[in-house]
Amino acid sequence: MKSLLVGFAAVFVVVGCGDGTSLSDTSVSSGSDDEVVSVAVVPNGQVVDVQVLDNSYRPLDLTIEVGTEVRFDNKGRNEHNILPDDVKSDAELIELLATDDSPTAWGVVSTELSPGDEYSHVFLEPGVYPYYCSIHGVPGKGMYGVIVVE
Amino acid sequence: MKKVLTFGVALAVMGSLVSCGGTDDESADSTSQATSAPEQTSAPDTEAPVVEDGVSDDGVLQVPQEFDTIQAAVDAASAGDLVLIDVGVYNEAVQVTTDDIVIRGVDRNAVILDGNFELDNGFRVVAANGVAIENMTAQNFTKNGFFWTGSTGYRGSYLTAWRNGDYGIYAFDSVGGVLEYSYAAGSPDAGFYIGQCFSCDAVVRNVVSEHNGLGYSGTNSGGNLVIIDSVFRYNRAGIVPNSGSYELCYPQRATTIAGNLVYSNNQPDTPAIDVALLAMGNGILSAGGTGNVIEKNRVYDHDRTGIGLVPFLEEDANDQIPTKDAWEEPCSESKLKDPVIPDGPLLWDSIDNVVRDNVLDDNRRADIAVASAGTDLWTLGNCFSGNTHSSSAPLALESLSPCGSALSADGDWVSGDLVVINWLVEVESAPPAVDYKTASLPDQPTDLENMPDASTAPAVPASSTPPVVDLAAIAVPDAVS
Repeated sequence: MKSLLVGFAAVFVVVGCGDGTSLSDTSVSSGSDDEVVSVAVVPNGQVVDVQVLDNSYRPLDLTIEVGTEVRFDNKGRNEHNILPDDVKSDAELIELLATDDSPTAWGVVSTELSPGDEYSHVFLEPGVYPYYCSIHGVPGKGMYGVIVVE
Repeated sequence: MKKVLTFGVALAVMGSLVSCGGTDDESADSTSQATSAPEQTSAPDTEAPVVEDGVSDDGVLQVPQEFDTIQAAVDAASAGDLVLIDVGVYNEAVQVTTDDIVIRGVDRNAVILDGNFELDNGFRVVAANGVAIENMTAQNFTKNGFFWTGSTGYRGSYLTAWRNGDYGIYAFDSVGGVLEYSYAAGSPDAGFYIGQCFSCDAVVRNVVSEHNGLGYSGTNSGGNLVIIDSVFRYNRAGIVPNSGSYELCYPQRATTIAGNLVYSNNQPDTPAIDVALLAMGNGILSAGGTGNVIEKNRVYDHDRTGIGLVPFLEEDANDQIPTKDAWEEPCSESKLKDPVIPDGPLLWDSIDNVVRDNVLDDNRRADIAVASAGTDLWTLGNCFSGNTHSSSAPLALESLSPCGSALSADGDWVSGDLVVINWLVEVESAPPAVDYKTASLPDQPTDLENMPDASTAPAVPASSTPPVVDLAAIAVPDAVS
């Protein structure tokens, strides 16, 4: 008999794209020998704020539940960007976002994170997401942060 | 879109000086172009170095003799090494992440990094400790000439920063530093900047800063931080330390500003960020600064104040103002605290500053001044004594607010007071900012003092302990004749 996951906003399986849900290869065992259920991860409605200051993200370390939206708000007086650690520049990020629609393709270029601008991303896949501002840092140094999605 | 200071808020505003900025860093891919045949430099007097693949092992990495680019030499350098750069123009933006290296030009005026208004920083030192940069020029970068961030131990000596798009020489979130014998001109923000540190343990000495938006800027910096024996002139405003929650480690505090020549900071044709426009016409202006000592400076020829203590208004603040009992907390701790977003604007008053023994003249609004908006001035703890001056705001300020005495509401704190809110109106008609790329500057100096024995002096990485400064020995400098 199939079993169903019910009741919780934070679902711990599956990855989706930013605009909706999808099924992943991850499955949840029902406890029986051969029945598997795939469950879509959806945004859970939670929003966590990260201040983008000159020149730091606050909080620097953030742990969230999968399905949570992280909202970055540039409260400083200068441009910043948000690049995953394996992305070197705004140009690379543009290329990445244009060709990769996986949940781990995220970030925002400096021209779109000027003072007063906001950027949001819903993290639909568990993992560790280090990022940095290439104007004021390098991966793990200077202006950088990390989001742990559980 | 950058925030615009709006009139209608009944508080005086002093903006701040931050910047940092730039396009994406692609320094590793830059190229260098030496424009003249390099002369052979002298290696230190040691045993004959072993040469392999054209590179000797004597700890001196020569550019371009051994490395085609400065970046290549920096990447190859190890702690204790000297990257020695020969005469030439290098179109590079160099990133440094190795500790304890020294990067030096053989001739300050002829070793030139030129960003061509395309590259971001001449040098960017990111979380590398003990890096010293000496004896060269960085010009035409879109962001900064020389930039340290997240470093413990840094030194900039005999540097020239010319026409760079944010700051000339800039140390952020860094401690244990020296900026000395250097020159900066043509930046919209500040020629020299030290920000977000407490205790900074830093010295700015024997520098000249002119034709910038601000001569010196220091947001949320202080603690064993001294600015001494330097010249700040022909900027929009001279020396402007300030508080604000758009950087961490607020408030600004405990900076000593002494022995400086600060004059004619009314320049209408400089590049300028919005704050520089607002602060225009002031010599030394504390904007929400606390616990500073401003002494033995000569300050003259300003349209507004010679030395002014004013508030800084933040309309969209990111945290509450820390209480005084938290002011001794080091930056490393305070930056980890969760913020409490205030319900409305914040007013960072200038508090507990000491202004003494300065010589002031021809500062048209007031030689010395203190102001707030909504806060009784006698509660702010600022004091003024021993200043040679002929005007103040409010009137008789040294009688109202002498150092060494408790302040009270007694006396006339109203007559002649400084209504800083008017600056919000006046800025609307201020001479507009000029593009840093095309701003009118004096002829670029080509004979600035060189570091002694640049080609042969041993490499000394930057110490995290700044030099000891004998503040008692500092005297008021002479005016320029």
